[in-house]
Amino acid sequence: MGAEGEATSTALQPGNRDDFDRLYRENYPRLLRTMYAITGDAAAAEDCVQEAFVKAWRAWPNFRPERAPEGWIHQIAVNTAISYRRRAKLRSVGEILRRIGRPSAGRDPGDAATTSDVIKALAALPPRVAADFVLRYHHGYNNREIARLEGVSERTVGARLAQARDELSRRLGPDWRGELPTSGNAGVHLPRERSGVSDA
Amino acid sequence: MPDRELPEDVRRRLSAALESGAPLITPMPSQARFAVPTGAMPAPRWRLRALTVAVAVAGIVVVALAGPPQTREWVVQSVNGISKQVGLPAGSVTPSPSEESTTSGENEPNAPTQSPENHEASPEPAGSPQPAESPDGDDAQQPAQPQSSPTPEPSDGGGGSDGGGDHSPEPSPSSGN
Repeated sequence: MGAEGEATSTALQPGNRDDFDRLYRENYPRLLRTMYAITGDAAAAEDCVQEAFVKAWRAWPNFRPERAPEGWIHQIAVNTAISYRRRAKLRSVGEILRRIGRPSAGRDPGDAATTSDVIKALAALPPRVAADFVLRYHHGYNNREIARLEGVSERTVGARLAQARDELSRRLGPDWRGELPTSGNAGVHLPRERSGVSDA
Repeated sequence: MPDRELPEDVRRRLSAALESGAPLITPMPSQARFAVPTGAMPAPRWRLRALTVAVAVAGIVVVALAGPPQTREWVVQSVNGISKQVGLPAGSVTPSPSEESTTSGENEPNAPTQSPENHEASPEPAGSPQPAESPDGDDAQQPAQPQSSPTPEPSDGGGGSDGGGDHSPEPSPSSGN
């Protein structure tokens, strides 16, 4: 976690409304983009983030200050998105059963126009794999930061990223497989959208 | 394992897809969903449960007062059974107004037995499903019961097509005698 993130986590008081508001402001952008990659739908992403903050607010009085709040809210949001995807899958199964024997309505043309191929490919990945990919290549976290954020090993993060690159290169082209870093550009690549967390 | 990096154009494509698809408008914390008062959440469930109970009670009351005779008797029997256990005096079946008019039209001589005054005079009502509960002095009323009973009874020993006599708690004296 970045230095600012650590300072934020030590300053937050469980149960304090102002501190929770700060947590909300600092983490909302990152969570929204991560949820969008998982769900593939902007409205669903917003819904998941709001739902995650509702759950977090209920648990906020019992929050343990020694834990990184960014990681805590990230876990809640990813679990919420996983539940959303399960429910969406069940709904789609129900729709299929209802439409048995009827002519197919086809895909929604509006949906096809607004959702890019990249988002569709990301949404097809397992939720935690998609989340790690977005954290790594969009938000600019390194593997160690992601591992700390999610409470898993770096090896797990590396394996998830490799899985994501393989899947995406199959769907979107070989460029998505990535390239081994040269000694010159091994560090930071892009201007990052890292709300509340600076580079380590 | 060395971690691979995405080419610059691929990362730009990824960022463009994420940012254009989910434009970033962070709502104020006061507008966020968690800021909604939590007391408003349980109210609809409580109201729904109360409404369900009220509808169920209303349904039972309607069936007990204006439903078909067999159902009404069943409700009264059940209530009487419970009240007997509790120790309260047992209730009785009162025919619905529509039924009262039809039965009184058919059985002119026995019509007075269904009047409230007669209920007091003879505690055994005409349509009571539990003759065992009637106190002494109902010997004189016994022959009059089958004619004034609101339940349809088979005239030829229970061979009727509607089977209404099967649910009658007492055998019809007209068919038995």
